[in-house]
This record gives sequence, structure tokens and C-alpha cells, in this order.
Amino acid sequence: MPGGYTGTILEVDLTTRKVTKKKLDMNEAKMFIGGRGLGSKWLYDRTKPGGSPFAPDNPLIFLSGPLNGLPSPSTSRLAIVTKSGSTFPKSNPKTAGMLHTNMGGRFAPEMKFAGYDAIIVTGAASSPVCLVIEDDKVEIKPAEKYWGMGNYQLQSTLDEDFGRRWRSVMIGPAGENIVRYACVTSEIHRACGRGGSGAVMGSKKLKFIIAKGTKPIGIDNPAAWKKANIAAYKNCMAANSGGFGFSDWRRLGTGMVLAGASDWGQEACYNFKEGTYDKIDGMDGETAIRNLWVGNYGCYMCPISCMHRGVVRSGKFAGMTHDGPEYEGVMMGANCGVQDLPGWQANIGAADDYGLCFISMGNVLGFLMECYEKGVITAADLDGIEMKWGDVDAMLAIQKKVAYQEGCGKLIGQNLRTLVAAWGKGCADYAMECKGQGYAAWNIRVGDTHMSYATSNRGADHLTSGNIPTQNLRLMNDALGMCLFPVISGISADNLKDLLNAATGLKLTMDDYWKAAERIYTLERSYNIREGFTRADDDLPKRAWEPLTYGPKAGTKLTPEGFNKELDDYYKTRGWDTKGVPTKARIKELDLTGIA
Amino acid sequence: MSDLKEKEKNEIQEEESDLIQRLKTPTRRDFLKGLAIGAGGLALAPLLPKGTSEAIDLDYFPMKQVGQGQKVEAGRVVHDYRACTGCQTCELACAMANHKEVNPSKSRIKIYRYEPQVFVGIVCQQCGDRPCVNACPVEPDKDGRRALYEDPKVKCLAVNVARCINCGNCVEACKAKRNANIYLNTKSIPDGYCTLCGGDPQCVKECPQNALMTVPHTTDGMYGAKSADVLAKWAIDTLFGGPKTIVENGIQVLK
Repeated sequence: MPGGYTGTILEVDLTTRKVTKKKLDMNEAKMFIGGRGLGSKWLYDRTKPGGSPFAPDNPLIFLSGPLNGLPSPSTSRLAIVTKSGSTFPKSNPKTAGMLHTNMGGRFAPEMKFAGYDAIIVTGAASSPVCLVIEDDKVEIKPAEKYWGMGNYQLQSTLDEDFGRRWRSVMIGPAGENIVRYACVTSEIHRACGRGGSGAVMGSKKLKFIIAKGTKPIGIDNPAAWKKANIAAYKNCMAANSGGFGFSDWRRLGTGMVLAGASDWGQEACYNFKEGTYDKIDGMDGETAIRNLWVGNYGCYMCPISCMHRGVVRSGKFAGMTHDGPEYEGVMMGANCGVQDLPGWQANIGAADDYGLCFISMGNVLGFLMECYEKGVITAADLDGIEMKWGDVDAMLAIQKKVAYQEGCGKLIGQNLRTLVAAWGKGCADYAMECKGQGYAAWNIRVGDTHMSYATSNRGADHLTSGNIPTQNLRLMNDALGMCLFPVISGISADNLKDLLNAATGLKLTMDDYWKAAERIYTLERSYNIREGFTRADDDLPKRAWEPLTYGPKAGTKLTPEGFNKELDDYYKTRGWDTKGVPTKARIKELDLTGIA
Repeated sequence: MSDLKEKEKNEIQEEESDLIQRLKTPTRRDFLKGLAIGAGGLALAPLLPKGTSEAIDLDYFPMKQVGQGQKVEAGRVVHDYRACTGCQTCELACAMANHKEVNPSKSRIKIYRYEPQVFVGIVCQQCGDRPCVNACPVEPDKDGRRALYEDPKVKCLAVNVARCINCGNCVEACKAKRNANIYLNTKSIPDGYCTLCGGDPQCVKECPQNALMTVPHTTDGMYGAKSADVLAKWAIDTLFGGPKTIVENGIQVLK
């Protein structure tokens, strides 16, 4: 039994309805590791520049990493790589950039227990289908029965039809209707959220993939594994990691920074106008743990289990269960001027059910509210909906229209730039996006989040991070299949390298490890360059130059000169030229063969 | 005496300088966004509380810092759905201890997920009346054992593979009367029942959520051997007051 990897990948052609099993190329695995890394390589090799993400030839790739499924903290993460539904270069709005997206849950391990490192879905079915995987048995089956279901109903139906030990990934009505920021979800609440992978899946008429596996995953060197793993658990679960350690994650999850980010002037408030929220009281993690939460839950093999389950006990939404608030939920909270905690959670729950990325949807909702306030649009543009700041019912109504592509939802379900082009009146000043994808809940002007948004290969992304060493660290996590939070909680990259080597028999040094990260990052960049992205697409919205006016960081702003200098430095450190194009020398140095 | 005080003083200074070090490093918000401290891209160097290494029983994977290395009394394994987060560490602990495989499908404890989010653990409850054993049609031997019988030492189920006629009566009995943890494996032999790891259940040791415990045989397991659906309903009623979620702009009861 090989170690780490299963050694087999599935090729699923939905046009011809053929399933083929292929051997994993171990030379490729050594260079690109797995997950996001291997996915980016296959995407580069398998697509020609200029195609639409919703054309049948766009490969939708589901990937595990070599650590998925193994007995180490949170080896749960699934990667999806495909052409993005959300990003496109200014030079050619008809094409798209690359997308890597990631989620926890239990699907990636199950895929490996069934015997597969990855599933590459190409083509498009002529009618709704699903993919059913039970060890060696892999079938494309009709899914008319399930088409149209929201994620809550779909999950409970799959539990009945297949059983509760089967693990699935799915799309809701938003994905079916090719909403540009529709997501792929698992267990309802976990999402490969950014970049519209749900829309890509919907364009292929693939409603869900469900898997059950009974095979073991190998560990090449159990003695080395044991040593590295003991260190991993010890470091992950150490009580003190300066505020972002095991006990902090466990107690409040990412909700731990709901109030903190506001104090630091870094929260997205009122469509990013401000960084400190005047209505933060009652909208934070402490309120949640006291008034809403009844316990924790987590992903596969996670000792932290940072997520929570709660229930609203009184008021309009009494009895509603939910799993928030998490930090990025701010996009439907402070970013929309909401001060109603249950109403906020109801909107998150609705987004989960529709299969909408609540970050992107929240970004658009905040944009709508500012446009409404400033008179760019009226209720007439929104089918009569009065889009006032903080109106949770208006938000629910818009979400429904977007998910089902009804009325004003048809325009709103596309892209901020589409809305700007449709409405004009200077509303470009309010569109907070990069490369077409909307900003997330970390604001800009304080800190270096602007660099994360500008230089991420998948468009505005808060997780990429604003400095290169951390970008590389996180990229490798996405390639390995382990969650980021145990790493932030204390597992070092060194430790991850040891786990990887022990599991797979690879013999990477730390130099190899970081070189792999640089290789993958530059490959992703090369993909975007090939699609027509330029330095002009690594830009910041106008709001970056406007100072915050409220809170402890009032007055803080960025400058174009400062940003351009940072971008110059960034390109240089990455080994790219002043236009942000990877140099030939750098491509050779990183052993990237076949890259133009 | 003064030597001891010197030693204490050094320890306090060490702790203080740890504290000062933490305060001087980039602020915690930077950690969340992942600013690296050093050029090597190291995310965080945790400050281990003193004595942790002594407290942790180092096995395949160390977990909670209590109860490590202690033998727990054999009885039955009880799962607490209030604490369970669905991580399945118990499943891997069981599969690795009993089958030497990283393979949750071979685990004798199985965690089932329900919505609203609860996780229910199903494991053989060592029922005192053994409906499984009593359903076995194979005649008792000179020691009173059918093909399926109770191991006298560990007081868990055991199978005499040579005498088993693969009829599946035991499976049906557990399914009808208790929690359906027993099944016929690929060799058509009853499997999946809890062997208590010979008296030292590994799942209980490894659970990071403190959601598992062993309960001695003074209380009969048959009262604990409810089906997953029944336990889930209790869990959802207890924790949430009922199965309501947000669906279509309103509250709809799922089941």
C-alpha cells in the first residue's frame, strides 16, 4: 500500500458519460504535492487561454492532498481548482483567471478511503446528474429527483437515500442557476466559497458527488510518522499560542476577532467605508457564546473543532438553529450595517441553503445598500425592495432573487463590474473588488490585507495573506489537505514537511518544501498571465485612498505611491519582472517546464 | 535554601521573559492573518505549558491531557452527544488499534451526523441480556458457548469462527432490539461489536473532546443501546429544542 497518496485519479467526462481510472503521476506529485498544487498544474495543462469558465471544456477538479485522511490534526480539507466564475482580466472580460478554493468537512478523506486522490470532471451533462462513488464502483447517475433542492433538503435526502456514512459535495439552486458566486458545499455549512465553483459545477449539470470508502490509507514510515505526529498534536494543543491558540479557536472560533478586528480598524463596515463598527456591541463572539451556542463541532480529525452550533431562543427567528457567527460572516453583518444577531444568522443560513458564497453575496449586498443610500439606484431597480442599511429582510429577499435568478437577481447574480456598467453614476467608487472578485471581511487601509487582495492568484482573497512567506506557508497547506487553523495554532512548516515525508516516502528538505510553494504560486500567476491579466489587474479600489473616519484608526489610508512600491518589491521577491510577469530565468529555476 | 530560591527566581524570570517575548512579537491580529515572524515562514512558536510532555502519554497521537496512561475499567463505552464534535478521532483510534489500518470503516465505534448539527456515537453497549448471543442458533458447547458468546474475562462479545454458520441472526437481533452495531463482514462473520480493546478502550483515551467514557457493568448497557435515530432526536430536542433550520426565508421544521 503506497503512503499518503492512493495512486489513482478519476477522470469523469459528463458529455460522453465515461469514467476512467488513471494512475497518479508520482513525478508530478513530487513537484506539485497535491491539492491546490496538483490542481493548478492540471488546470494549466488542460485548458487553452480564452475560454469561458462555463464552457464544457473547463475542467472542474476535486483534490485531496497526501495528508488527507491520516490521523493528524484536521486532515480534512478538500481543494477545488478550475477556471474562476468570478475573475477576469480588464483586457478580456470574456475569459477567466484560475480559481483555487478549499473547504473542510469529511469528503476529501472519504474520497481517499474509496481509493482516489482526485476527481477531474470535464464536459457537461445534457440533464441533471450525480456521481456516485463506492470504492471501485463509480457511476454517473440521473439526478432529476434532486435538481432544484436547497442544500438543507438535499443533505437530508441523501442521508436517507444513501446513508449517514456517505460523504458528499453539492450545489444548491444558486449553482444550478449559474450565479457567478455560487459555491460548492458539504454538510450544508462547509463551503468552497470563493470564485463561483458552484456555478461551474452547475454549468455541467452536476448536482452532487457522493462517496463511501472502505480502503485504508498507507503511511510509508510509521516510526517517523509517530514522531512527527506527536510533535504536531503537542504543538497544536498547547494551551498558549498568544491569543490564537487551541483554546481560543475552540472557545470562539473565528468569532474571536469579531470585536477585535473592529477595535483594530480592520473590519468591513458599511461596504468597507469604515474599519470600526459603531454597532459592534451584541454582534461579537462573546455575545454568541453566551446567548446562542450550545456546543462545538468540527471537521474530520480536528481536535480543535472551532465551529459552533447554536439556537435562537426568542424573537422572530426563535427556534432557528445555525452554526455562526464566524468572522467572515461580517460580510452580512457589519458590512451591511446589521445590528440584529438572529437576523444576521438567518441570512447566513439562507446563503448556506441556496449555495451562495456569503462573503461575495455580502459584498454585493453592502454595495447595493451604498448605491441605494447614495441614490444610484432606487427600489424600482430592486423589484420594489428598499435596500436600507441593516435591513435583514431586504437582504433575505435579494438572496432569494439571486439564487433563483428572478427579476433583479439576474443582474445582481453576476459581477460587481456588471452592476457598475449597468448603473453608472459613479458607483464604481463603491465597488470593492480585485480582478472581479469581491473583497472579504478584512478591510484595507490598516495592516497589509490590501496586498493579499491585490496579489492573490484567485482575485480578492483574504486568506492568501499579504506577505510572501505566509502566502507560501498557506499554499502548502492547501496542497497537503490539512486545515490552516492547527498550523496557526502551533504546527510548524518543518513539522508538516516531516509528516509529508513520513506519510509518502518523499524526502523533501525545507528548501524543497518552499521551492514547491514558489513553483506553484508562480505557476498560478503564469496561468493568469496567459489569460491576459497584467499589473493593471493587481490594483486597489478607490476606497483605499480614502481615510477611515471613525474609531481608533480614523485618518488611516493608503497611497498609490506606497502601494506601487510594495507591488514592485513583491514582484521582485517572487522573481517576476516589473510588469509582474514571471521571468524565463525564474520559470527555469523553479523547474516549471512547458510554461510560456 | 538560597539555592532553591535562586532556582525559583530563574524560573520566574524565564516565565516573565516568555511573557515579554510574546508581547514584543507582532500583535495577535497579525497571527490570524498569518504574518510570519521569521524568514523561514514559521507560523507560530507555541509556548508549551511546563510539564506537558510529562503529562501526555505519547502513542500514535496524543490527545487530552487527562487520563493518559490510566487503565480504564472495562464495562461499556458511552458516547456523549453534547460534547462530540464529529472529529472521528475515536474511529481512527479503534481501527488502528484493532486492525492496524487508517480506515474508519473498520472502526467499531461509528459517528453519525444529523442536522441540526449533532453527532451520535454508536458502539456495542454490552447489553446484559445479550439478545445477539441468544439469537445464535448454534448449540452451546461444553462451556456453554454458542458461536457468538461473551468472553468471560473482558466481558465483551467474541466469535468462534469455526462454529459460526453465517446466518446473521445476531445482526437482525441487534438491529431490531438495540443499536445495530453488529454486522456480517466480507467473510460473513459477525463483526463491528466492541471488544473494549481487551479492557483498555483506545477510543476513550484518544477522544480530544472528552466525549467518551467507560461505564462499569453495574448499569446494564441495554438501556443505553438506543438506535442512532432515537439518540439523535433526543440530542436535537435537548440541545436545540427541536429540529428547526432556516429554509426559504422562514423557519421550517426539517423532520
